[in-house]
Parts: sequence; structure tokens; C-alpha cells
Amino acid sequence: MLNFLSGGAKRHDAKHYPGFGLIGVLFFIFLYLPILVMIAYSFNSNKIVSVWQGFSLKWYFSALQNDGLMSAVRVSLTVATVATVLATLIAISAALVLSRGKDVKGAKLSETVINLPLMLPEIVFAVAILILFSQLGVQNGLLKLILAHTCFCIPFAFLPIRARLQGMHTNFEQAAQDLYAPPWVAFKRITLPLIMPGIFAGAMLSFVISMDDFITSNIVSGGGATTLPVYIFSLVKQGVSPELNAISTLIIAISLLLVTPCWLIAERNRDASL
Amino acid sequence: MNKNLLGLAPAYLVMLVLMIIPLLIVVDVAFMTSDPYGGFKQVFSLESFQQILYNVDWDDNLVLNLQYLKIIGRTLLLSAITALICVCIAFPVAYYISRQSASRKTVLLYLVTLPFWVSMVVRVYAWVLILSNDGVLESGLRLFGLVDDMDSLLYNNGAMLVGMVYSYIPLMILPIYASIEKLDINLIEAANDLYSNRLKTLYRIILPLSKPGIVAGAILVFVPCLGTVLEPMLLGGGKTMMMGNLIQNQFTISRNWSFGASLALVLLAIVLIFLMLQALRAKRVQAGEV
Amino acid sequence: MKHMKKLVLACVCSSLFTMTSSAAGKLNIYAWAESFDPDLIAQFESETGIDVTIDGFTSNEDLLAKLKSGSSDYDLVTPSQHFVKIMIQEQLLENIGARELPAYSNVDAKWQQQWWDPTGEYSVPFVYGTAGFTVNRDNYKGPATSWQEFFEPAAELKGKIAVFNTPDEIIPAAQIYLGVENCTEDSSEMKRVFDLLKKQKESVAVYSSDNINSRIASGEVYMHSWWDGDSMKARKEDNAPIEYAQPKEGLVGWLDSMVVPKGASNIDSAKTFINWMSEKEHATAEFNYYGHTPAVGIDDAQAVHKPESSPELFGSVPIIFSKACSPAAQKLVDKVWTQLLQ
Repeated sequence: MLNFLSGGAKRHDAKHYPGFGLIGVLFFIFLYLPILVMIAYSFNSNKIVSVWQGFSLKWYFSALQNDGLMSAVRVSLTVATVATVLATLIAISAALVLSRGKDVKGAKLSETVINLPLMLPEIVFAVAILILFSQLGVQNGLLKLILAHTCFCIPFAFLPIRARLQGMHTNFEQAAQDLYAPPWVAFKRITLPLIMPGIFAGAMLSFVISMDDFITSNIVSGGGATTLPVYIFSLVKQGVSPELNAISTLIIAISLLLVTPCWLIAERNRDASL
Repeated sequence: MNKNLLGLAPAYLVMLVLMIIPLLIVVDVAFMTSDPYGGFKQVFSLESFQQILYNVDWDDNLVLNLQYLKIIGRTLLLSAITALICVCIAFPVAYYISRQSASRKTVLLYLVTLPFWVSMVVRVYAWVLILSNDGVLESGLRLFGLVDDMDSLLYNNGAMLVGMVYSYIPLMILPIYASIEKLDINLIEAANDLYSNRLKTLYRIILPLSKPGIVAGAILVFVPCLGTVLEPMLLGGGKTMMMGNLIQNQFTISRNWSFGASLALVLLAIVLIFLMLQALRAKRVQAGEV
Repeated sequence: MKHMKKLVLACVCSSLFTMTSSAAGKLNIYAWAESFDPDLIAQFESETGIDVTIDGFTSNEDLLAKLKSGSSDYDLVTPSQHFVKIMIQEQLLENIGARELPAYSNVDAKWQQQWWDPTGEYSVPFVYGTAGFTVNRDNYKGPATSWQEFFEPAAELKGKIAVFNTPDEIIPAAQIYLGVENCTEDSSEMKRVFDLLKKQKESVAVYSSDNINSRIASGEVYMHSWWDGDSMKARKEDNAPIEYAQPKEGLVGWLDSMVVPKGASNIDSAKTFINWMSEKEHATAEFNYYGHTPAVGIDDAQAVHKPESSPELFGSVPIIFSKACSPAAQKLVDKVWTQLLQ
């Protein structure tokens, strides 16, 4: 642990920069300390957050019994699930055309269009879609959230699928064609299983992006359609509280559970492709 | 050909209806008159653009008003400083990671990206918890007798900067890391053999060669910072505004849709200019390499 | 592969299911933050089987902006009197035949069919109270009997005053203090209001309507814009060392009504809720929780906030209700506020 602080045996290694290790360690402390502090204080039995009184799980129980929180979780899960499914299907279809279609015209333009949500500041998108919904008179809060989320999730689903398709040999697909497999069968038996990791990664990304979204959800949310981040924001505005720490800790735990397998799969694939 | 169209159609449809048309409506609203109760009226007016630069004073004269320009300037400045701080931290960290063994690299990169997947609201809240009055930091310092009573650390530019650096730094580390990884390590050794010292090697070899990563990272950090909403609201306390929450306010409590729309266009224009500069640069670099 | 398909199908089905099944017996309320007693809401849910969700706002402007965006999907909201009038004018409210509802017969006669809803078709009065300011008595020993102390604060209050973040209740207060007519369209009169607020700003620590209780009770600020009932509750329940000022010029009065936004999907649930809430027993329980005076008849024996223990609610200074401003007047109000907060 200490050898990258001092340089030690590596002193004569020209590629080694003393101090960079220290900055690295400090950086990881900076990155994780706030989160760890929050997690620690979520177990504090004291109502005054910053004064430690003793270990307690009571804030978790009161958080889980909180109706507003539970309904926000339901809304977020519903929106994220539907938006992920829609965005992934749309992304698969577009990615297949762009990397397997024959003489596709304006492929570059199509990619730009699909990636538009990545280039636009989100607040501009949020405001634009608010005006659109208000002009069309769309009432249903869930519907509005699903539409908006589907739109900005598409590039996040598209990019990993597209990358997977591009990095993949067409040998197998060609072989299937040579053996007179109907296109649909070839797709189902060959292409789809091969791009599954890309689809999985894309879907996971979309899901997390949708679950995390605040700016758009905050502007378009309405009755019965408060998402989790919007709900948490309303609590934060009321000041720091132990229950809020518990809720945040739960969210961190769930994010970890979602992201880690996705990351492991991506790692495995990279190793396999080497 | 038809199949191609069919496959792309859903994506085009979604982007057209939910992205392009709404943006055109924003342009339209920016040139309309705001309804004082909220919403807008279909009456052409340039008032919303005028409002960015001028106040109508109490005697109905136009007076130059620099407040909104100041907010735009602050947004640009804070975003640039954030990007700069991120570079200063991210470069050594990325370099450090790239010098580790393969398995350690993987773990460290995982640790860098992990917080990024935690809800932004939660991450910003963690800083509210630390910086607030009687918050964790103040209590900690008091425990060691370092301070007695201190002014709130929240609600200022510094708090916003900390929050923004914290939120966006993973976006800086990853591209820099990627370009350092690509760098031919023999160059460093060659430099060393030619009696270049470390500092010189850093400035002459490593930094220039990782420039594409630094530029990419700077754009990735700078652009989302321009439209950030949460940090100014929760850490800036609504007193020190940035463009993101200024725009949002126009559609909530201030109810001035046209002004909000015109500000959104300004923000969009700024972002597009930076993206275009970046694209031009990339093209030039590419051309230069070939 | 099969697995994946099933999973996707199950997800889509379950989410569609939650979307449709929720339509029956639901009620989405957008009300002043922390205004409804959670226990009372739970009781309502178990008695009627209606599933209630509540979101909170902290200013009438917030609510108006949400409704004006045309797609809020709320079934019941609680604007103050002048905003009820604006919302009726702007056709944002559903005609629920309010005066025919059982709830209306319990409404205090003096609040029935008032100027903001003369036909009594849109709104059922709910609670009323005042907007003024509260001082922390541990930190501030000076007088609290005039708006002067708030708008032209003594030097000791510099950086220790907090003000609501919307003009709705601050500008009328400033107008009361200056003797300017409420909702004036005269720009030179509004300039006086602006100058007063601009001067006050030098002493203002923060403009915020959130989290008022902790800010004033902890002594972070010494003087804070607040409402009578909230101030009383903090004093009684948290033993906060605070006092609700009684400015001799008069307090800003407000009356919140229950109304249904146009196009709401659960109008019947909303009516059920309005009737249920206006019943004596429930209105009393709500009064005990919320601390603002009900506009409907209550069971006085069961009320915990008695006149002798609640000077906040039963003051003797005049109460002046805000009017609904014309677009021109509203523009001036917004102008004062945007220029002030710049």
C-alpha cells in the first residue's frame, strides 16, 4: 500500500511518477467518502443526523413503510421497464439495419439522429417535451414519462448493440445463409444469440439511465407519477434526514446489484474476444 | 431497401416526434408572447430575447441589464473550471491506473465508474449532508476542536464546484485512461535513455500524446455541466443560479415560457458551438495523421 | 432465449397492468406541503378503498405553473382564494357543482360563494389563515409589532432574515406596509414596493419556502416569512423559541379551497374526498394536525388549538385578503420579483 506513496523499489522506473499514486488514493477517498459517510449515518439511531448515537435499523423500517416512497419506486420501476423494452427493441432494429443492411443510404445521418439525445443538454429536451405535451394535451403522467424516457434511452441501448454488431464476424451469418436458412431463422439462431451480450448491456444501461433521470422527470411529472429521484429531491429540499440516508443507501445497494453483473459480463466478453 | 427503411422507421419516428418537433416548438415559443399566468400566446414578439440583455425599467425605458449575461458567464466559467479541475485530478489518476497490473486495472476502473451509476440526486445529496449547517464536516471539525462556529459551507460557488467535479469526473478519467493505454510505452523509455528527466518526458511525450483523451474528456464534462440543474438548486441554494435552473424556473414558479425557451436556445447554441469546434478539431487531427 | 422472451413479456404485461388497474379508486392530490394529516389519509383510504397519493407544493405560483402546463393529471388541488379566481378565469378548473355537495353545507356562511367563486360551482373552502413573519426569541429581542421590523430591519438582523421565494404573499405584505393598493397597475406605485424590497434584500440571507421550520427554530435566521398555523405548530410541538409577529398594519390573509383541475380522471374520488374531509369529525382532526383554521364547522370540544393557547390564530390585527391580479398587474408583480432576485 505504501510503496506507491514513496516510490520505493520503482524509483528508477522512468514510467513511474511519484505523487500520482498519492493523488490516486486521495481521489478514491474523495469519490467514496461522501457515499460511505451517508451509508454510515443511515444506521444512526439519532434523529439529528450529524450526531452519532448508536446503531439502528429503524430508519430502514420507517423508509420501507413510507407510502410516498413506495409509490415512487413503483412508478420508477414501471417507467424504466417499459422504456427499456421499447428503447431496446427500437435500438436493435436500427442497429441491425445500420450494420447489416445492404446499401443503407445516409447511415451517418441516421446515427446522428439516433444519438441526438446525447448531444442535447437534458434541460433543453425536458423543456421541449413539456411544451409538446402541453400543446397536445397529454394527460397521463405515466405515459408522458414513458415516452420521454424511451426517447433518451434509445442511444444508450443503441451504442452497445451497434458496437457488438460491428465487432462481430459475419462468418456465421453467411454460413447460415449459404445453408439456405430463412433470414428470420438465421437471425433467431445466429445473430440474436451472438449480440445478446450487447442487448443485455444496452438494456441495462437504459434501465439505469431511466431510473436515475431527474431533470426531465421533474419537469413532466404530475399526479401519481412522481419518480424516485423526484421524490428524493423533494425530501432533500426539506433538509437532511436519517430516513433520507436510509433511502439513499438502499438505492446505492440496488444500483450496485444492477451494474455489477452487467460489468462482469462485459469484462468476460472482452477477455473472450482477446 | 424497404427493409432498411422499416428497421429505421421506429427510431426516426421517436426522434422526430419527441425530439425534433419539440425543439422546433421551442424555437416557435421563443418568438411568442408569454402569458403572465403561464403558457404562451400566439403573438409574435422579440421580447424574450430582449429580456436577456435589457430590463424595462420603472419608467418604461430600456436599460442594459447584465444579470442574465452574468448567469451565462458564470455557467461557462464554472463549467470550464470544473473541466479544468477534473483534468488536473483525472490525468494523474488515469496514468496511475494504467501503470497497474491487468487485474488491478479492471478493479480500479470498475471503482471509477461505479458512483456514476448511483442516482445523481443521491450523490448530490451526499454533499448536502456533508456541507450543511451542523453537517458532517462541521461536526467532525468541531470534534477535533478545529473550529468553533463556522459559516455554512453550502450555497456558494465552491459548493457547486465540488458537486459538479464529483458528479462528472468519471467522464474525464475514462477517455484519458484510454489514450494513455494506447500510448507506446517505448517512447517513454526512449526519452529516458536519451536522458530526458521525468518532468520533461511528461510534458514533451505523455501529455501531448494523451491530448485526444483530455480533449474528449473535457467536452464530456464541460457540456453536461452547462445544463446542470441539481447542483445549483441543492448546493447553490437558488441564490447563485446557473443556466439550467434559470431555464427550469421559467417553466415553474416564474411562468415565463418564452423567456425560458429563448434561454434554452442560447444554451443549445453554446453547446452546438463547442461540439462543432470539437468535431472540426477531430477532423483536422485525423487529416493530419493520414 | 425463451426465458428472455417470457421475461420481457412479463415485464410489459405487469407494467400495463399496473397502469390500467390503478384507474379505479385512485386520487392524486397536489396540496400545500405537509398539509394533510397522514393518519387521516390512511383512515380515508381504508374507509373508502380509494388509493391516495399526495405531492406537495410551497407556493401558489408553483401550482398555477403546473396546471398551466396543461397536463398535471391531478384530481384535487388546494389553491388560495385569488388563485382560485385566476384558475376559474383561465378555465383550469372543473365545475363540480360545489354548492350542491354535502360538504358545502358545513362551510362557514361567511366563506360561501365569495368573490373568487361567486356561483359556488368550483371550490369548497378548506382552511384559512395569515401570512406574516416569525421571529426567534432566543436571538432577537426587539419588537415584532410592525412590518417595519421585517422590511426595514435593524442592523442586528443583517443576514439573518429569510423570505418566501415567491412574490405571492410578500408583495401584498409590502403593499399593506406602504399603503399601496393590492394588484395595482400603476408602475410608479410598484416601484416603491420594489425599492423597499431591494433595500430589504441587503439583510436577507435566503429566499426560500422550503424547510422553514428548521431554519427559524435552530436560529440559523432570526426572522422568517411564515404562516400562522405552521408557526404555532413549531412553537407547541417542537418547543421552538419563536413568536409569530402581529404587525399593526395588518396580516396577509388567505383561504385555501379544494378544487378539481379540468380534465381530472378521478372526479368522483375527489368529490368523495371533499365531502369526507369537510365532515365535522375529520375537519377537527385535520385542524389538530395542520394548525390552520378550518373554513368548515368543527367539533370545538375536540379541537386542541384553543383561542387562549393559540395567539397566532386568534390575533387582533386586521387581516387583508389578496385579490386576483389582472394580467397587467401580475406582470408588474413578476417584474418586481425577477428584478429583485437578479
